[in-house]
Order: sequence, then structure tokens, then C-alpha cells
Amino acid sequence: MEAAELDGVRRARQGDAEAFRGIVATYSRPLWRAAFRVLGDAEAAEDAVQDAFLRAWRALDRFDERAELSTWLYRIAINAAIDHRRERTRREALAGPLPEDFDGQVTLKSTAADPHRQAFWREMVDRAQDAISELPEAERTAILLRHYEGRSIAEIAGVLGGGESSAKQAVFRAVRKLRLVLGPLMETSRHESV
Amino acid sequence: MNRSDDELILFFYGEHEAPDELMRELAADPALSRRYDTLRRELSALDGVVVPEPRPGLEARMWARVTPSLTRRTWRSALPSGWLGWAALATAVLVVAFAGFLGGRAIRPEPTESAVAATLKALPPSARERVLQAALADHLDSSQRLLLELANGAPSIDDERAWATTLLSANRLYRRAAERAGQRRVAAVLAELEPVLTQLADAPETFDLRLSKARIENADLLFKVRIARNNLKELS
Repeated sequence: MEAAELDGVRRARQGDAEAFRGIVATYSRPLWRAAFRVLGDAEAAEDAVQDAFLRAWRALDRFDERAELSTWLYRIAINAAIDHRRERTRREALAGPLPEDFDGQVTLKSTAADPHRQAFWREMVDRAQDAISELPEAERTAILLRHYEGRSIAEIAGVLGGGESSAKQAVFRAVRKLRLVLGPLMETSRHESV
Repeated sequence: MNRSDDELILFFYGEHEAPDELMRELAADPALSRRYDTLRRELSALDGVVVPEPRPGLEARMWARVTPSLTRRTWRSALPSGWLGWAALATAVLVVAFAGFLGGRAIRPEPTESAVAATLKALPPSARERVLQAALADHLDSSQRLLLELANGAPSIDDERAWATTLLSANRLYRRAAERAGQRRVAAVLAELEPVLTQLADAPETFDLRLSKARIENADLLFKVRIARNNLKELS
């Protein structure tokens, strides 16, 4: 971590709100993007980032100065976004009935080629987001850091607090689980298009 | 060589120890190449979310949203802030007391509150309405933050208990004021909030905060408070 950033963290820890303001200014955008990837909704992403900053403010005492502030914040933001997503899913489940044609199976209505592909990808993306949300925290953090943030296994190990081997295993397990969800969808699509 | 899926994953993410060797194998082995293509296609679904740019002014907006909460872990800050907040609280007392009088019920505010309320009698009704709205919005914001903290696993009972105790008395006040004012939706949300606050305010040292969390989740309380707060925003 850069000296200026470390200084900001230390001052924020002492209750210096202006120092924390610097952190908010620097990380609002990257954290918003991370939250958007989980939520797919701009306003909800802002809510999640707000929660993330408040959690970070309260947890600053527990931040390990040897770690990267960005990855620490990223992890908090992802968890906040996941919480928002769960809340939304639960709310939607309570609020509305399922579509009449819902039979528990993936149904890809093919009209024209383009809308079909769009519907298929929308479904894939939704499933991927749901599947990521359901992963255990370490696996979820690992795959999000690896896939979206391009962080190395070594950096992920730093965030998760274990060795590189366990970080690697977390990525493997996450990918295996995601493939279990996404693979059948790919198969369905392949058969439909034949 | 028989390559495992894990090796292909490492290769996909650029972390394989011998990428050149694996690349040659992929070129020479159609079965391995098919496996890798399947992996690549499946993982490409993760890239389907197109991330737009946030609305302009995100940083300033975020700071404005965060800053009121940075010092609010003390019980004082759970109360409406500034003279407007206190005035609003007093106005709520005034509303309750006045409505109580009309309804033939004796509601006796604390002396200090009634003293402030008396000084506010001169305010025109529209101004009273505005300060009441502002105070209620403050209260819902504080409540929302407490619920969020509980939902996210609050660290200790002490802070939450002090916070809940302060919110509880304000909550009762606003609920009664809302009932009297015919704001049934707001009153209903505050009525649902009250048992959670009561439980926390009376909680012993050994209280399991997960009970509060479950209660909040079962009643969908956080969502309801948010909606009530947003409706106030739309009114203002």
C-alpha cells in the first residue's frame, strides 16, 4: 500500500472523517462497478457501496496494514452487494407469482435468431450471478477477484488470508460449481440450435 | 499428457506454470481443445454483464450518503440532528399531545419537550408539517442503519442496545403522531419496528443478536423501512 494511502487509513482510524473522504473518493467508482456486476442495477449498486463504506469505516481497526486497501474494500463491497441481492431475491419471491408458463425448467423461447440469443445470454448471466451469490464467501471472493479484477492467485491468497494453494483451490471449486450451473444451459442451447 | 480441468482453468486465467507446452498440446489434441473451448464458453457467461458508467457525481453523492453515519454510533446521534431535528421532535410531541387532548386521552410529554413545544406553537401548520417530515426522515434513516447493522452481524450488544433505546422512544412518538395524522402506512412500519427495538433495548448481555436479525428478515423490515423513507423523500 502506498504511504499516502496508509496515512489516510491511519487518520481515518483515529476518526478523521476527511481522511475517510479521500478513501470514498478514490474507491467509489471501482466498488460501484464491482457491486454492479453482482446486482446488475445502478441504484442498488450505489446502496451496496454505501453499505460497504459504512462497514469499512466500522471495521477500520481490523484492517491489516500489510494488505491492500483496494482488495479489502473490494471484498467488503462484494459481500454488501451479495446481501442486497439476497434481500432483493427474497423480496421478489414474496412479492410476485411466477410466470404462468414457469415449470421449473429453463425455457428459451426462440422467435427470431437474435432475440433468442439475447434471451439465452440474459438467462446465462442471471444464472451466473445467482450461482456466484450462492458460493461460499472464500470461493466467491476468489472467483470475483480472479475473473473480474484480474488479481493473481498470490494476491487472492493475501485477501483470503491463506496460502496460494488454498486460494487456487478456492478458484477451482468456484469454477467447478459455476460450470455445473452453466454447463447444462449451454447444452440446452446447443441442442436447440441444432 | 492427460491435462486436468484445474490445469485448464489455470491456463485460462494465465496462471499455468508451462503455458507454451499446454498451448502446443491444445493445438495437437482435438479432444483437449474441445474441453478447453467448453470451459472458455462457460466462463464467458460471467462476462455477460455490461458494466455502464455510474451517474455523474458518484463520489460526491456517495460521500453525502456516508457522512451522516460516520459519527452516529453514539446514542446522541440516533436522535434527529440540529435545531430543526429537535424542533421536529418537539413538534411531534406537540402533535401527539394536541391529538391526545382532542381525543380525551392524557398524554403528558416530558417537561423539556413540552416547553420546546410551547415555543413552537407560533409556527404555522405548514412549517410544522415540514419539520415533522424532516424529523421522521431522520428517524427512519437511523432505524435503517440500525437494522442494516443487525442484518450484517452487529459486533456487540452494548452499542445496539443504547442505540435501540434511544430510537424506541422516538419511534413511539412518531408512530402515535403518524396514527393521529392518518399516515397509516408509516404508522404500520413504525409499529412493526417497535418490537425489534423493544427487544434490543431490553436485551441482556447474553442476548443472541441473531434473533433480531431473524426477526428483521422474517418481517422484511429493512425493505419496509426503506420504502417508507423513500416515500417521504418523494413527498419532500
